Amino acid sequence: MTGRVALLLVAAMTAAMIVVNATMNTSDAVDNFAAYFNRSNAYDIALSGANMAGNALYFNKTVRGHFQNNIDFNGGTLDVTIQNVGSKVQVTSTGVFPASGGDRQVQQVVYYVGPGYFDRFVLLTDDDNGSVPWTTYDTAYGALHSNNTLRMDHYAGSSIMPVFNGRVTTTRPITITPGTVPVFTQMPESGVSVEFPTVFDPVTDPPMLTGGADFNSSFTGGNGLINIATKKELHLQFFVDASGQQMIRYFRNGKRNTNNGYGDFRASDSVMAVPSDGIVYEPGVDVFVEGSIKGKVSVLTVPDAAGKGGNIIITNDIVCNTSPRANPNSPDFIGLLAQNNVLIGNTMNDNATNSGSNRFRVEASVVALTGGWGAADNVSRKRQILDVYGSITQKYRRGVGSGSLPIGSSTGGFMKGYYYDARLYNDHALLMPTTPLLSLESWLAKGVY
Amino acid sequence: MGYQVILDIIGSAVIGGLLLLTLLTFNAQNLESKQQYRDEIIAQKNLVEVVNVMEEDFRRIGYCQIRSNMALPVVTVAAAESLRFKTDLPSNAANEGDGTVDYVTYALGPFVTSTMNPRDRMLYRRENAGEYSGSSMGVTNFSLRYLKYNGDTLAVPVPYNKLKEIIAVEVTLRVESINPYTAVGTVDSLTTVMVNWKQLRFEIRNFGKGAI
Repeated sequence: MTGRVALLLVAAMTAAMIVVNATMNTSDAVDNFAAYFNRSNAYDIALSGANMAGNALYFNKTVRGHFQNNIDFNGGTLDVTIQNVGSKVQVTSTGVFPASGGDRQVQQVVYYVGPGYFDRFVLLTDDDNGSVPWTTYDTAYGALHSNNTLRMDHYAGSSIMPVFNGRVTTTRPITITPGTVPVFTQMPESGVSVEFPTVFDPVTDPPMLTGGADFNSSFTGGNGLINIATKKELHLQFFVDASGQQMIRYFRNGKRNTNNGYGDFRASDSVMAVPSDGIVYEPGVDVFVEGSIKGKVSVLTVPDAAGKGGNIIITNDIVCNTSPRANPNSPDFIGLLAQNNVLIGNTMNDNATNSGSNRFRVEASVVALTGGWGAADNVSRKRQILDVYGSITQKYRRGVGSGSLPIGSSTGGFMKGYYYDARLYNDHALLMPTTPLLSLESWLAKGVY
Repeated sequence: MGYQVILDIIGSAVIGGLLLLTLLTFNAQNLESKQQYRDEIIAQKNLVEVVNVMEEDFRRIGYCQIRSNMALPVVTVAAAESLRFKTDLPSNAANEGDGTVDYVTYALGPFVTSTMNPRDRMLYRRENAGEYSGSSMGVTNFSLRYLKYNGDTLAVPVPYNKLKEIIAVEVTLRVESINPYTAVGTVDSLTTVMVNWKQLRFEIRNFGKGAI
């Protein structure tokens, strides 16, 4: 009898141990993945809160405070705050899962939004009606947008097509001439609209230079956009002197030599330092610019009450003192901001400073608020590449070249070589207009332990 | 003792032997199951630990507390089994970084010879120019894909001039038990427990400046 009981006890204990052992193993495995599952859920909840706050800010950018106060959300809880931190808005979204019980996991998404800038495109055009095509040899590296359409074309008989290395968006569909096969590295999208700047920020600076007589300028050929009789002209040549200071050589009134065009600066011209705030403000004047710029300098011109002036005309290469192409940390930012047009002018010689390279270089953020970016003479000047490294924002599309002549021809104007300056993701030229919508500055997802 | 008794003893011995054999087989199978469970748990725990660290890092790709210090490209090396990216590593209780750009490298290393599993390899993580910290957690596969804006995959290694096109990184990770066991009924073949994890994509959100 005793032996039988002992046998039964051993059997029962063995069975119990097997069950307990198996349960422990299974339980460990479940716990392990449960923690990961909880963490993933907590992250998803935090992400949802971040999106909800973003949506709220889209419709009302003044929303602040405890946007969601520990609400139940998908089996967990969600807490979202929106607050000002300096000039930015900070959104903090905290997800907890499960709402109660053991092994709760906490994940947080923190992001900052701030004013956006219009310089996030290599070329932003509010009204491109397709009259000026992108054609053979034209290239654009960076995001490009038109609030109308874009027209694609190519030289008859040429297999070289326009190239777009970046996101291309339009409001209306792109118009492609039959036989043209433009090269897109990203599929272009239509149906996209981008708000366009309407004003520059108010400038309190006095005009840098005043005086000067009205002058009757005239151009031959091409766009002829600044053939407005009797207006003031100011010619600025930027350079860095031997001590490293940014200086401007300047003269007023019209071009000096009718035959050779603009840009005829002389050693005897007046010289002055750039204003300490870097803003060269000249209302009621057409400002002619060229040279090399160190630091942040922006040229801003608006027309006077009579509608005269407000154009910027580039008479020669205008480049950063430290090239951003070679040095992405270059601290130099040039702003060319005109109420009307920003144009390549007729220079003293057609090769600009880059004589022999057949390039005309512009390293700047350009804004033509109610006008366009183009060449004053897009027909009879030498055929070259218009090498832009920066950003262009224009109301209307203007021409820079015409015809199918090869580079180096004595006429034909410019082919486009536009490259976005990636520094503009983080930094901007002075007075660059800001977007009505807030823009994402930084995004951080993290665990809270 | 009669003849019948001897027969009973022999019969009992045979039946007892059969019972004993059954018990031994059961015990062996039980041990194997237990080993399998244990290996699974270890592999799972290893996997979850690796994934936790990786998720924290990868979700911070391109983040910098001082935004203007971060510049494209944010992924600076993009190969099939290694990558290097810019981030801002946690440096305070708020876990938000110090505004200085840091570099983190992940790379699959050589095979680990100190374990019985012939396939497991070192998975290295390196901060800036510091030492490579290796983890021998039975990682047998760590493969990376780099995605463009439209979901297309970039060929690896991604050349420098295309690094800025990366908007998401897809990671596949496989962890196996480092000590394989011999399954019942086999002699020299080793069996490992295998756990896979695939994060479809880590989107690089600190990229450009899209309006919200």
